[in-house]
Formats: sequence, C-alpha cells, structure tokens
Amino acid sequence: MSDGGGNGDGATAALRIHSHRDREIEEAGDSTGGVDSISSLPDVILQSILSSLPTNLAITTSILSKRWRHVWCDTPSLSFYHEIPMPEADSINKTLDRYTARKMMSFDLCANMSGYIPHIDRWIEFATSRNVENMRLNFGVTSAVEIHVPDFFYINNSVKKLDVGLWFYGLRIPSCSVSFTSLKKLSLRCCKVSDECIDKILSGCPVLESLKLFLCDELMVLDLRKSLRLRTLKLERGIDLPGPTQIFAPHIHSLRLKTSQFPSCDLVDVSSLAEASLEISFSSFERLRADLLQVMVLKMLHKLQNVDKLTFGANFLEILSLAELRRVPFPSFKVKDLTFETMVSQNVMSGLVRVLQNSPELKKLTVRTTDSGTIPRTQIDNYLDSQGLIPDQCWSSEARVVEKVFSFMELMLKSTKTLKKMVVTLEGYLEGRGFQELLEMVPMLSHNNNNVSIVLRS
Amino acid sequence: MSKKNIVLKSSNGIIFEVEEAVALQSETIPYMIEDDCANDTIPLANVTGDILALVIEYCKKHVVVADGDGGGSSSSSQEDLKNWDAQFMNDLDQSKIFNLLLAADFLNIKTLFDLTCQFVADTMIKGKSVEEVRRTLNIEKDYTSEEEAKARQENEWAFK
Repeated sequence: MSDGGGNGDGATAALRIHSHRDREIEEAGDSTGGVDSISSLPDVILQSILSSLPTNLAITTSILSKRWRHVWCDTPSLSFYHEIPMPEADSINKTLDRYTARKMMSFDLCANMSGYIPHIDRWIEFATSRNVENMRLNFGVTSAVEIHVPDFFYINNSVKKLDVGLWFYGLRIPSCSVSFTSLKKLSLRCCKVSDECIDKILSGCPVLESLKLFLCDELMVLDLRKSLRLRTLKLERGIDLPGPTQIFAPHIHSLRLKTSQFPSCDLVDVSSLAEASLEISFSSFERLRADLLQVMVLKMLHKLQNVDKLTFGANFLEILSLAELRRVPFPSFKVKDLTFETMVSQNVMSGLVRVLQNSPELKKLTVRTTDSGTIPRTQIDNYLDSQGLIPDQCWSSEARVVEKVFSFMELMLKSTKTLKKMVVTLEGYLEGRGFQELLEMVPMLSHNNNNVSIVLRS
Repeated sequence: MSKKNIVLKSSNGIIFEVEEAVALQSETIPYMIEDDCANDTIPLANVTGDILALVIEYCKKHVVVADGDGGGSSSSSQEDLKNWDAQFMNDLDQSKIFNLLLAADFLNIKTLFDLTCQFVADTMIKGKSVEEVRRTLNIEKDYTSEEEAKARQENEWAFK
C-alpha cells in the first residue's frame, strides 16, 4: 500500500480506513467477539461500572437477574457516603460480611451517626486488610463524642490517597510512629490539627506528592521542608478558623491558596513554585482590613516573581487595585500564563493593569468572569474615601455591557506587548445578541494589538 | 520532524494508521510493539473495525499536544474535552458502548474505560427503579417472585 507519510497538517494523527476489499484479510473478518447486552460483559467490567455507584445502589442490581445476584460483592469499591438516610451500623456490618473482594480500590465512609462509633475501628481495619488504595473518611456532625482515630490507622502500606474530615473536632497526635509508605495524596478537612500533629503525620509520608488542608485551624506553622517529594499544596483558610500563618514549602511546584484576611498568612519559602492560584475569602459580615490585606498580598506577590503560571481571584484583584491606587510599588513577574477570575468592574482594573504592565514575558492571558467578588462595595468605597482615592474611570456609567466588556478587553490588551493569546470566558455576562455583537468586534481588537489571537466563550 | 506511525489491524481486517502518540495511550500496545517487529502491523484480534475507529477517535482527541508557548492544557481546554467526551458517549448506541468497554479494557486505556463505565452507571442505572434498569439494559428477569424476594431480603437496607 502506498503511503505518503506525513500529510499536510502535522497537528493531528493520520487516520486511514482502508475499506477492506483485500483478499488477504477475508476470514478474520467475522466479528464474533462482540457483545450486545450488558449481562454478557465479564464480571470485572460490570464491577467497574458498579464501583462508581454508592454501595446501596450497587447492591440493588442483585435483583436484576440471576446473573447479577452476586456481582456487586466483588466490586473493588465500597461507598457509604452520601446515602440519605444513612444505613444502620448493622446494615453496614451485613454488607461487609457479604463482600468478597480481596483487593479494594476505594473505601468511602461518612461516619456521621453515633451508632457507628463502636464499629468504626473494625470498618477501617476491614478496608485496610484489603489493601485499600483510596480511603475517604468523614467523622462527626451529630456525634458529641470525640472521635478517636486508632493507632493502627497510621500504619498502612497500601493507601495512596487519604481524605479525612473531622467536622472541627481535634485530630489527636498519634501515639505511635506514623508509616504511610505509599501515601501520595493527603487531604484533611475541617480538622483541629496542631503543628506537632501534622509534623508527626508528615514525618511518616515519605512519598507524599500532594497535600490539601481545608479549614484546618490551630495550625500555626506549616513546615513542609522535610517533605521532599511534595509538589502540590492546596490550602483554604477559614474566616473564623485561620491557620496556618506561616508556610515553609520549598519543594512545592504548585500552590492553590485561599486565604482569610486575618491573621496574615506568610509564604515564607516557596522557592520552587511554578504555578500558583490565589484568592482571599471574605464574608460580608467581616470588617474589611484593607491596609493589612494590602501588606499581605504584596508580600505574597514578591514570592511569586518567578512563577510561570498565575491565577488571581476577584477579591485578590480588588486588594491589588487598592494598593495600586495608593501607588505602592509592585514587583515584576516572569509569568507567562496568567489567569484572572474576575468581574468586569473598575474596581479591579488598576490592579489588573499593573500586573499586566509588570509581566514582560506574558504569552497567554485568560479571563474568566464571575458575578462579583465578595467584598461589599460599601466597604471598598469607604476605604477609598478615607484615603482620598478615586478609582480610574474606565468607561462611562451609562455604557452598555458590551461596551464595558469591550473596553475591559481593550485596556488589558493595551497593557501588555508580548501577549500571543487571550481567552475570555463570559459566563452569564453576555449572551445571545450581545455576545454576537462582541464577537464581531474581536477582529478589530486583535488587529489593533499585534494580531493577538483572541478566543471568546460565553 | 518526522513522526512515527503505527499500523493497527482490527479483527475484521480493517487497517488503521495512527501516530505513535495516539496509539500509546493504550498501555497494551507498547507490549505488542515489543513482541513484534515495530514495522509490522499490530493485529487486534478482539476489536472490530467500527469499535477501533471509535477508540482512535477518542485517543486522537485526548493525545497531549505540547503547544510550545505556555502549556496547552489550561483548565478551559479541560472543559472542552469534558464536553467532547459527553457528546462522544451520547452519540453511541448500547451495543457500541458495551463493545467499547471491552476494547478499552483490552487495550488498557484507563481514561476511556473509566469514562464509559461512568456513563453507563450515570445514564443507565442511577436514578432508575430496578424495573427501569431492566428495561433500559434489556435484562430479562429470570427470578421467580420468591427468588427475587429472597435476594431483596438479603440486603434489605439497600432497597429502602
């Protein structure tokens, strides 16, 4: 067969279907292997299908037909997590008795009933003895009894992904030494966890790659200097439950931080960072501590100068804008790929323009619009008044949405010279005719700005 | 820059030529290349041409393209892929879906296998009564009423 080799566009694969009239390949042709009903699939495939379902639902397939009677028993996953109502402890025990898989991929348990407490250790042991790889445990809510995580829990060679939620109870310092020799992803949610406790846990995770801490108060110093393989840190600090305040993470490459405004959060060492996403959580009941926030945010910016890929959220940009209006000097950035998750508003404009002007290597800019930040307008206005500041007037107050979005894009484009591509997602902002109108204006924008390629999405 | 192509042959003799990066999303194919001579056609004795065409369509869409300037895999393109996946699955009839499962399992293409399993679970089982699942999936009830009652009783809690 003649084969021309590389055809014109090398971007995608060359696919050729030679409709077979060739003699040589005749008799292999009869495709007897195919199936036309789900029941003729092998058990392992049916079990993979069932493993994405909550266990109660997987069990109901046992009455479909005789073929299905025991299929669920060997499913590699058990999930008692989102059922309403949750099963009685006795039902879980019976289910485990019928369960036959020797190797478990995942075990999810939301232990939110006080009746579960006497059984939890046994259930965890059950999953552990089947070398479970992904474990998700959520304790608490209704139980007033403090959950005691058994020591054997901390010695585990098989678990690769562990997700623990404690519903604001304290996680005690393990009294044994910790050994999670395979653990790559650890997530702690809503835990009171002390510095000492997390240090001890991390000391037993030699191959940890990703750490997620969601509303873990009590934590003061998060010291990840000894986690040599850790690459990803996701951190969300609560509004009333702030922690940690200092972060030493010299080995991480990727950081996603949602910080509260007080106490300040300090990125002491993030020297290997290549990618970062930053936002500030703010509840409308809070009093805006604008000065404090600007100090924190600028301190962070200084640590992000060498990062390739940056994402800033709406609140973060509003605070940057305040700093820019006050003429606070900004560092310059080596960022190549920048994302703003923001509203189309004058309140973010000056910070946003400053970041663009200080990014001389920028290639790609992505803008995802959101409805608004969560810092109330009045609080920002009061601060501006108190400082005698007036935000730049980017467009007249009567401007239509299309005009606003257009000048928003135009201002951004004018602030950068190296840009190759701009992607703008206007979710909920502009639909139908307005979006169409904007689309028609895009070629002009592109033409006036070094032929930047512009992608618009609604 | 010349790209290496790989030739795959379906069970009914249909030939597909694909770029190596596309084919290597299958974890089975590398073993077959090692076993055979790399220039030869790789026979896939249990995948028919129509299913292999679907597998290749999927793999072509999901091949990771390094685009030079500033990384190609932004979260928005992830979103595009998700939409594409949904459309891809929606266009298939049940027989195709089940055979695609077998092929993805045999070729060991984890993302395609997981996508298809999830699709079957979500659209053919979730939110449906036992009777509806039977009808959707063409499963003949071969239990007597007593047998069914017994099976139901065994795990009563799950049916509440």
